[in-house]
Amino acid sequence: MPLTSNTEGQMYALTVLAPIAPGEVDALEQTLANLPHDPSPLSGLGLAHFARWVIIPDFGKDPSRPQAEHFGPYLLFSATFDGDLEPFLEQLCVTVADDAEPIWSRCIGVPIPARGAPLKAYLRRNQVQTGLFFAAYPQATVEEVTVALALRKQTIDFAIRSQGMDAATLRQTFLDEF
Amino acid sequence: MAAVDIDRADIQGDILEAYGNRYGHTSYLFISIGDPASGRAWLSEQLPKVTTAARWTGPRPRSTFNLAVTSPGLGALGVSAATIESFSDEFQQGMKASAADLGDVGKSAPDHWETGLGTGQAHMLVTINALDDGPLQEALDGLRGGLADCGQLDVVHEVHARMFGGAREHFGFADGFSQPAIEGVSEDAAIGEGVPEPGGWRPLALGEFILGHEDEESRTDRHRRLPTAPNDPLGRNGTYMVWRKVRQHVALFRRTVREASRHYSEGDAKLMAKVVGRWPNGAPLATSPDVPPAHFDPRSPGTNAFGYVNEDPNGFGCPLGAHVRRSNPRDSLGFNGKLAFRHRIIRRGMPYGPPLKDGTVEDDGEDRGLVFVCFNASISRQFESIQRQWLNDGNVFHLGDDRDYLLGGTAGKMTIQGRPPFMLAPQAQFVTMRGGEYLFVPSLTALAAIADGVAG
Repeated sequence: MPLTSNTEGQMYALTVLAPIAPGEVDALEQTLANLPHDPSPLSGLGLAHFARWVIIPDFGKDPSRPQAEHFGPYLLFSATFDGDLEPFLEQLCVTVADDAEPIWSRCIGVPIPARGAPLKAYLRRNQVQTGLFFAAYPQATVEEVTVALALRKQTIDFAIRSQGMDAATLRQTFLDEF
Repeated sequence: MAAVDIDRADIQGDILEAYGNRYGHTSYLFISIGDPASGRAWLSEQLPKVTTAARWTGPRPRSTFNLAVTSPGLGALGVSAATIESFSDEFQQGMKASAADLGDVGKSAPDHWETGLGTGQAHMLVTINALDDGPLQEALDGLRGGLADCGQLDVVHEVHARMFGGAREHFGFADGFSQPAIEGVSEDAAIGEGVPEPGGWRPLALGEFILGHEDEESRTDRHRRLPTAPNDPLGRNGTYMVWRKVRQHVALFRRTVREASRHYSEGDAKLMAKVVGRWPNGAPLATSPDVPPAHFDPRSPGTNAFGYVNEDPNGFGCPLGAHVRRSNPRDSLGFNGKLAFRHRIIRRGMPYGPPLKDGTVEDDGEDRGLVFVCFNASISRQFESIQRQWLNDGNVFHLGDDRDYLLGGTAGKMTIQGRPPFMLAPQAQFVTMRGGEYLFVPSLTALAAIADGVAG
């Protein structure tokens, strides 16, 4: 039976496995290690809740069977995001292309330049169907989460400042701020 | 389970049982080693002086002497790169490399640390405990003389700490009495300090704190190997040590809590206790929620025999974000304590600098704080997890991004659960990191091997 659990609520889970070109693992490791963390280039993916690049150094190599065939290193990309695949691929292959291109371009069979529509097609070809994924709040979009966090902060700030206020001032301050 | 075989004469002292409560003075001296031969010659001479965990038969020594080594220190003593690579990653990289994860940023960042710390120059740490000034001076003179005789050895940083009455730290709270219960060492303290199990509490495996012994993972699965330890002969009976010099801004802390307590109906003393989770005399708020018990001795058995799930699940006594509840959540994370007991540490902190006069809320400009010392088998799983997940973040306690209020920081607030609840606004840091190191405390066997140049 095909695995097709790519969605949960309005969230989509994308998994891509791309083989890394021979001799490129170290350079790719360097590229990933040098990516800034704050802000991360992945923060340019406005639709994404979570996203990651992972190098799998010995994909398919079973330590208990050293003679067995193995399939070399792979680059794993996984992300959970709002809505359908296409708008997300647009962000991944166009919006953050400057940062992502040096990463994708070290994979086997990737179009050069590794961006735009050709990269979208490549990622779709290398997509692995998701079996099951967990979404803590499958109906909430990134925007809704951000707004909720801001409201939470605003409420806490208000609660702290309003301690000790008399009822009339409390009421007025609340009405002024919310 | 078989009785634990503890070779006390091979394990350094002050790890399994505290000296601090018996000695008034603790001095820490970091030594830089100019060349391996001089370092090893000096180390050879120190070996007979090293205090072990062997039980004292006569009167306690007037002073004790213990050694620990940093990763650069192993190199400076001529230990091979291959052997150094058998130590844990976080130890090899040093505390400085973990600074961002530990929250040592801003004024606490390594760039602002005191001389000799986090520079790669601190190679060995000598810890001296002494009964009083006389024996301390004797031990320090002896140490300095020995260093001068060997040449190529310099003290790059030193701190002289001393215990206050009631074992209080500078914020005014009895400190250091709650410690993990360990098999073969402190089994009596298992209730509240060990592992909660359906049939009651049991002590933690020795391997959580001393390498080369079964830990909580290997004890339940006989096929698993002992926890990861450095190559022989360094691995057995040694442990990792975390050393942090933390300045405490006592006047700021008092002022802040006093100011906030204007709107807190139960007063600033209670509010301060809520922040900590204990009363100044050490009595836990979980078991004494309303007023401090008049006659409380933190040393008496059973004072830490409590959990949070039954006693205080909602934090009305000890707030969910109180310092002691974060740093040792006991059973409060659910799952019968299983999320907490692998993150325990043995603490051996001592205050440095003069106390700020009682009641004073103006800063007197004195440098004072805590030398935080802890021992654990895995710095990343134990010390770093506590610091990162429990003190610097509130997520696992369902407290959002609230940080430990006692340590301060600009993120989050602190909620004092109650009817109504009370909230403390995010506050400037009450403590500033002044520097620290990750160290390894070798066994006596390992120290001798390093001194003889046969450690690998």
